[in-house]
Amino acid sequence: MKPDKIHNCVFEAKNLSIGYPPNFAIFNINLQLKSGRLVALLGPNGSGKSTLIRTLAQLIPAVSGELYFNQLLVSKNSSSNWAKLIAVVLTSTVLSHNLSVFDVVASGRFPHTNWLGKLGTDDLAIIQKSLQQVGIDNLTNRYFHHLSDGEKQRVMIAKALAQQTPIIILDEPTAHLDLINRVEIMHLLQDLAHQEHKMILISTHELDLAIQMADRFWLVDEGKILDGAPEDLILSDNLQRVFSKLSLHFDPQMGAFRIRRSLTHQIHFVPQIGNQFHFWTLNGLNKLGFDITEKPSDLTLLFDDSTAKWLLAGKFGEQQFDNLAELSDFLLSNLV
Amino acid sequence: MARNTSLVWKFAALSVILVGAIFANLMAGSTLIPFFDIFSTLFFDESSQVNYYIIWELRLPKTIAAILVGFALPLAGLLLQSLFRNPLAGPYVLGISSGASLGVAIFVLLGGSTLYASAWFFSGGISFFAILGAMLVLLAVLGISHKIHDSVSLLIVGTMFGSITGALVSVLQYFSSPELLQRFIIWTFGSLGGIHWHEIGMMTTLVLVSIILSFQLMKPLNVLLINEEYALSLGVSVRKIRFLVIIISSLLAGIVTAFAGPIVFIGIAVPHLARNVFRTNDHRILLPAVLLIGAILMLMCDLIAQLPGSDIVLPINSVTSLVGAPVIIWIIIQNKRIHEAR
Repeated sequence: MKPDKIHNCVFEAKNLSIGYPPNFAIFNINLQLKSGRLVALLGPNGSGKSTLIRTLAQLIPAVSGELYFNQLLVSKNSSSNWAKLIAVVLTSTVLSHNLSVFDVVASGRFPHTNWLGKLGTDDLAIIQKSLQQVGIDNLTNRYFHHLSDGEKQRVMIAKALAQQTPIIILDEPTAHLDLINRVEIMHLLQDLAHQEHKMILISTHELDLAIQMADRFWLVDEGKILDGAPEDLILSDNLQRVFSKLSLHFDPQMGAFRIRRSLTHQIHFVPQIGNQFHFWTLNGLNKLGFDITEKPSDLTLLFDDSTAKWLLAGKFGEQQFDNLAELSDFLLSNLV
Repeated sequence: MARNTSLVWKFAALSVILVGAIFANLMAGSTLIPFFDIFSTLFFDESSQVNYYIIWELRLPKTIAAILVGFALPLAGLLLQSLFRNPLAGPYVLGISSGASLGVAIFVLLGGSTLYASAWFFSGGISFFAILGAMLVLLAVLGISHKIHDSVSLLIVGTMFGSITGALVSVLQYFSSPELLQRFIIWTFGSLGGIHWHEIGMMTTLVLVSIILSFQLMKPLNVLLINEEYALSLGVSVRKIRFLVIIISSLLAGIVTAFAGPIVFIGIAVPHLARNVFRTNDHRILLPAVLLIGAILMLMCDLIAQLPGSDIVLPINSVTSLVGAPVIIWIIIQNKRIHEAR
């Protein structure tokens, strides 16, 4: 697809059902993917995210429903035209042990080359540019299997770029990555959507990261999909509802999940909003199962800003602590 | 550029060696025929009756048969190794050649060879049954390979299929008449020598068709090395590829086994030699490389089998085992991660 045509594309699923009849994972939904958007598909485990991703990528057939690209039915496309429309990055691993980074990225040119797969100068330039875009052009000649997980994920994204498709679909692109790589990969995907006008769909478990990076959420909710901006889905309480579980609750103030604990003790502590010491003191107390009250209690904790010390008063007498480790050690040994 | 240059040199060197091996096979045998006599017999028809007969009726068909076998089995081995993603796959180790043997046994021992309509009928029947037997075993192994992901286990399954077909052949032998049994035993020795011109014609046709068909597999097999889902997403019809590999390798293993008898280890060993010489997994290079190296290796095995200067001829099967089996041991030692079926 020519870059000038890539701006206003729409990829649609109409009346789509997936799963194994009569137990549909997702039943009779309509979805729209637009150019320049990063869409995150979220939902509890087993809700059909992977199946939906694979169906949209036409790796597996839909139970019913049709896919359209710019109002044209895409199932009529031959598989090689299809490969010019959608590139995928999957969780399945590269099997062969002696493929170089170049070999893997060059495979993205497969739908564009002749029956011999000969790479022309254009193809080589596109491969080089794709490697640069994801920041791994220094790894070109390394063996894929010698790379770190973060580097491997970049190689697969470069492969998807070399395929030059308007749509890129990624199945859990940040799984198995450390925090820095997770953030960098999401940044990269956001840039590709906003600057290169790609349609990017990812499935992910990283709710907090997705809230900060994705333009749209597709939230799988009991066989349907809620489509909206992440912020709207939080404000309408839908995100909290879908993900609420006994051990976990979503804190709309923090935009993150909190672990729900049974609070067995009470302590009087008045935290100041915005004070880092107070914030992390709360975290430490929560972990020990303390219910923080503003009412007087048999334990009272104070943080002295001038000396940066913690003062505990109440049923164990008066104690002073230099750090939170000492405080939690004391509380643990006295409360149990 | 440097890579391309060394590629050209390697192919040129192999071609020269192939031509040398062809002439060596024509020259050597129970009597040595000088190089210039061969030349004049082949191209100018100015030779003694004896030399004419030896070259045109004995050594030339045998040499061409060796080349065809050297094309066919290694090509089948390469395709099977890529399809199963298993370095130990090959027409013999997966039991496909044994399936072909069973086909031949059914045809010969149940009396197909006595319905002597013509030499063509016999050759056609024996190759049809061999190809059918090869295809049935390959389909069974492929079915089981979906349940087993350990490559050594798959190998054992292939060996078991070999044992089953071997047992069936023994049962057939037990109930056969002595005349039919004799025909079959002679076939099992495996020989490139007894192949007639009309059989060479059939072999050439099928082997060339298979080579042409497999050319269109080069590009998709390269992507299949990544993994099946990615190949699918790039527009490769994995089912079509699997179907083609089954057809081609059954044709190749079947036709070779029908006429030359069971020939072992060449199919698995040559693709590894090719990968080692060219240091690549690119099927666009490996496919022609496998054909060249396979033909050279078979010609050399046949040359050894002739024991030049003597009247004795060793069974070709023993020679290919002596050459091929050490290659497999070497692969296992080199590839310590072989258990992961990659």
